[in-house]
Amino acid sequence: MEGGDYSIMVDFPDLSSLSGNPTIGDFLSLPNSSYPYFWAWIIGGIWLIITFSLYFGAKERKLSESMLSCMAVACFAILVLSVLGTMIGFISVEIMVYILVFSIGIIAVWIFTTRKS
Amino acid sequence: MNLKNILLNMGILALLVFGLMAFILTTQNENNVALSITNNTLINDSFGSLSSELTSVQPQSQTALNTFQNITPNENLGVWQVTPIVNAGRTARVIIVGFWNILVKLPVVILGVSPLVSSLLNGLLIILLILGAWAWWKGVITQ
Repeated sequence: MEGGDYSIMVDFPDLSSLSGNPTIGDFLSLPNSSYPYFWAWIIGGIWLIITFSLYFGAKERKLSESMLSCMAVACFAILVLSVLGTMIGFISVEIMVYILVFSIGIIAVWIFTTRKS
Repeated sequence: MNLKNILLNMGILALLVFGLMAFILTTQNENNVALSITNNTLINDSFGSLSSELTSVQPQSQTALNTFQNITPNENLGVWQVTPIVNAGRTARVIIVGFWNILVKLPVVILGVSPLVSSLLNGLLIILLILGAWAWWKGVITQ
């Protein structure tokens, strides 16, 4: 084809894609149809914020800070958040399983490295 | 870290993970979540394995205790009564295998590690279990 007259039609979902009587779950799960890991990145960001807040908070108060324990506590927090997300409907089963596996791994390392013999 | 602490940590961690999964499942079931994590077959299997393994720990511990209590003190001096420690070793194996099901098998499969690596790790764990139990019974490990 001469002239490069191409047109690529992509239907990105927007608010008009919602059903007639959308719930808050439908609204929040809208980005999942474009990018399935949208909420996974956001949960990851929340995990980072909680971890660093706990770590530097403890450091500022001159407590005995431990990055691993801060990460493990943040894992508990994101687990609860993601369970709430599955109840509302914007966290899919795949994302929930990934979060669970990630959290269990960090909590396991934390428990195995902090108990003194 | 000695053997006693490793077993204690494994038991605590298995209970903690069981509690986390039970929390997630109970919350999802009571709120009628459309897609529960039990839809994932691996989670279903792992949770079932962990639950059955942990449930069997108490009766096996009781059996070990009963065996220990029923020893008649008519052994000759210097004869080592191995039955109680064998039973305790079997109970420890149950804890370790339950821990294996939840902590290693789940991430290995979900994160896409090859089944060959998983099988190798499983074999290594079983060999270590045999060697550890043997060392325990022989008194090489005292704690």
